[in-house]
Order: sequence, then structure tokens, then C-alpha cells
Amino acid sequence: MDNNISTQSKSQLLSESRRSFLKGLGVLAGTAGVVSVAPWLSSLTAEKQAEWDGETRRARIALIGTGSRGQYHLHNLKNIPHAEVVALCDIYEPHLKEASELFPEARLYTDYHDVLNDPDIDGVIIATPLGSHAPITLDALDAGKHVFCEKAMALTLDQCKAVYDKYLESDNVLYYCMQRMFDPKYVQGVAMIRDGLIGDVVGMRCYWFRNADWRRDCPDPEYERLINWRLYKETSGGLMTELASHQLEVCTWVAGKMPSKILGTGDLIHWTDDEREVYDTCNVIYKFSDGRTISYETLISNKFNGMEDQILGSKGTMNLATGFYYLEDDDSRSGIKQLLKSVKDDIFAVIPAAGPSWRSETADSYIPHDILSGPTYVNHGQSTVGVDHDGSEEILSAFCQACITGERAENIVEEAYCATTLCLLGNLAMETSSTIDFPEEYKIPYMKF
Amino acid sequence: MKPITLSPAILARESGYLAACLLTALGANIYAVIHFHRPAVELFSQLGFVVVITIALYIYILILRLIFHGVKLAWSKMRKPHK
Repeated sequence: MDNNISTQSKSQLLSESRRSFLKGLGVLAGTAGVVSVAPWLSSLTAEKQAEWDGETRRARIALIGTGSRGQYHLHNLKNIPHAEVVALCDIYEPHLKEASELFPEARLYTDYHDVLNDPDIDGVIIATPLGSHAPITLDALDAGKHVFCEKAMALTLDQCKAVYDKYLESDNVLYYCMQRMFDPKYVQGVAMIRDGLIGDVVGMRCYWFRNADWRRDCPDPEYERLINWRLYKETSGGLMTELASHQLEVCTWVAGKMPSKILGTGDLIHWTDDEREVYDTCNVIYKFSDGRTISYETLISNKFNGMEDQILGSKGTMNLATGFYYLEDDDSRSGIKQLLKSVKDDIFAVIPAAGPSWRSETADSYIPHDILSGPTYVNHGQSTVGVDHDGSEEILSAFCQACITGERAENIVEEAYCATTLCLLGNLAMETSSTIDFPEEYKIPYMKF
Repeated sequence: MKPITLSPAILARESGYLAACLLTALGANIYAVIHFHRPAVELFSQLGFVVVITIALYIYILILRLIFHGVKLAWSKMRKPHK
């Protein structure tokens, strides 16, 4: 099979894709700005593009796990000119059949070991249930394959450490699908925070609310634990690994450090009419050594609040999920509007008897400001498969490029490790109803406390 | 129905009130630009707000005047001797 495409067409497609991505980062025009905020984006800079131009090879990719998320990646791969899907693997035949309709020429496997033994594969995408992420990743790295694995990194802390240690020993590329790291509004937002736009970061508040069963149709009871792996502790970390992992990664990225204490509570309160084991509601607090906290909430029986990643600053609030920021003292209003507001406040807000110290400190009205100067795509968090323009295609594209160049991305594995360990410790805190100190044995040099 | 005639005196009086409201709104805009250190272009870019404030002030004063005249009329009728 011809693995080359016309240089000009691929170069054009790549250029358009990178221009579109970098265009969204209006403030970070220069390479230094992008890389300082998000070192893993170094492959998308103009300098790297110049090195990349003229490259005609395509990464030969195998997908292991052809369920909904795997097929989502297949749709993105269709838009990546330097990727060629050459193999598909799944133990569940109906999914494999669906996936093969997207790539009819791909070789089909039912055992991932056969994929890893195939010499005509450069990289594997792992989109299997969480319980198998670590075992397959370890085997793939041993087999000399580049790996792109769905989040979270692993089901247990020991598995996380094993993967991290294997990665250090290996020369191969390893990516985790923490797509917010490649989402322009997140990159830009973090840059603005580092620039002091919202003042000192005084807290973080993330939540993800849905109203959905999480149970998928299962035609054969024999496959219940395979199809509905998310519901059982043997294969799933529940809401924390499936949802919180993304948001906790953002928080530690912003903070530049790790929380040292974790406490929380969780339970199964609404979806109680089946055999599921994971919680459907979780509330976890992550506390940093300086006293700041990440307040995390999630439940899947009410979607009123949707999904937000709020970074709270002394001068404003950055809502990375919605693409807006708000300032506490917003002087972007015209003078006449500010005058009208101050007149209104003077007349209606002050309690004459007790003076301004008793004035109620309820939220004021805020003007939303766009994080990006260009179009902003918002994920409302209700899809259980994925959405467009959330960084998923960009991170996949970067991985495929890395399969060809062999260049490892900085800090992606470390960020995934940090997020996953926090998720797993959150589960532990909820299950034991105790405050947990981050265990010494799972700390890595990348972590700052 | 009898036609309503606005005499020149009434027109002049209402124009005076409107002009006063306009001057007040313009004055407020000028004050706001100076006090909040806004760019001078807002003297013109915020004229829409000036118009809205003018109309709001005029209506507010009109209502007050109507109330005042209503009370004055009621008071004078109460004081008129019955024949």
C-alpha cells in the first residue's frame, strides 16, 4: 500500500490545520509563548512545521478498542492526512464490524497481541475499558510501538507507576488523550492566567453534571461487564476517572503544583436499580499546601449546571470550559454605564442604617469577555462519546506526527499521571471517608507540592 | 372628538423641558467620561445612551408634573365653595 501522499497536498492540509489552531491562540503569537504555557505543543509551532514540510510518510495506525470512543477517533483520523489506519482490533465483534465499515481496507484482529506483533504498524491507539489501559500500554511499549491511550492512565496507582517507569525506560512515544491540553481556549486561558489577568489564583471549582444512565444496551448478558465496564469497580474508576481526570489535569496545569491532601464523599443515590458499583455522585476537595483548594463535583442525575472549569482569581474568574473570563472590577464598560451602575448601587444597595460594611456581598453582574479572539467551540459535557473541536483531533494529529518523527511530547505523560493519581486518590478518599495525604511512593519528580 | 391643539406656548414649554433633560444627559456623559477616565470618543459613541436618558428623564419629570397638577386640581376643587 502506498504510504506516501502528494507532498503539496499534505503540506497544505497540515499548514491549514496548524494555522487554524495557532490562530485561535491570538495572544501567543510567538513560539516561546506557546511552548512556555504548554510545552507539549512544541510540535505545532512554526519552526516544527518548517521541519515537517516535505515529509511524505504516513503513520501506520492500529486502533485497539473499536467501541464508541474508538470510532470517534476513527472519524478524526479521516481528517489527519499523515495518518493511515491499517488495523482494527476488538474482542467484541459487532464493534469491530462497525469500525471496519469506516476503514474497509484495515486488517482486522481480535487479539491485541497480534497487533503488537505486526511489524507494519507504527503506533497503536488504545480505546479499551480503563482496566486494560495499563496492561496494553506496557505490552505495546515493550513491543516497540508508539502508544496513544485514552484517559485515564490506569485503574490503580501501582499500574500508573508501572506505566510511568516503563515510559522512562522506553524511547517510544506515549500520549494520553487529555485533549484540553490541545484545546486553544484552554491554552490561551492558562496563558492569560499566568499573565496575571485574573490576579492571584485563589481557588478552582470544576464540575460536571449530566443526567444520563451511563448504562448501554447489552444484547447478551454475557457481555454485560464488557459493554458496561464503566459501571463496575473491576474495570472502571467511575465518574472520577471518566470525567474528573480532564478537569483535574487542567487545575494542576494552572496551579503548577499538586494538591497534598484529598478528602471527599460519594455515593450511589439515583441509578440504584441495577448491579452497578460505581458512585453516581461525587464531591471531592483537593487541598494544596498553601491552603488553596480544587472543589470538584459531579453527578449524573441532574444536568442543570452542565460542565465548567472555573479558575477563581482575586481580580476575576476564568471559565475555561465556556471560553469566557470575567473581571471583578470591569472597567471595560463605558463611562455612562458605570455612572448609571454607581447611581443604582448608591440608591438600592446600601443599607442606610448599618452602612457599607453590611452591604450584602452577593455576586455582581459580570461582563463576559472572550478568551479567544476567533471562534470558540464549547463542550457542554453532555455527550458520552465526544465532541468536535475540543482538542481531540489536534492531539491525535500530534501523536501521528510523532509516530513518524519519533519525537516525544514534553509532559503529556506526567500530566496524565498527575491527573489519574488524583482521580484514584479521590475515589480512595470517598470510599474510606478519610483525608488522604498524597502518598510518597507515588510521587514523581515532575510533581511540585 | 375635539381636536387637541398644542398651542405655541405649550410647545415652547415642553421643548424647554426636553432641552433641559438633554443638557442633563449630555452633562452626565461628559462627567462620566472625565470621572472614569474614558476615551473622549465616548462623548459621541455613547450618544445613544444620552438619548435614552433624555427620554427617561423627560417621562419621569412629566409624571411628576402630572401628579403635582393632579393634586393641585383636587385641592382647589375641595376648597371651592359649593353653591
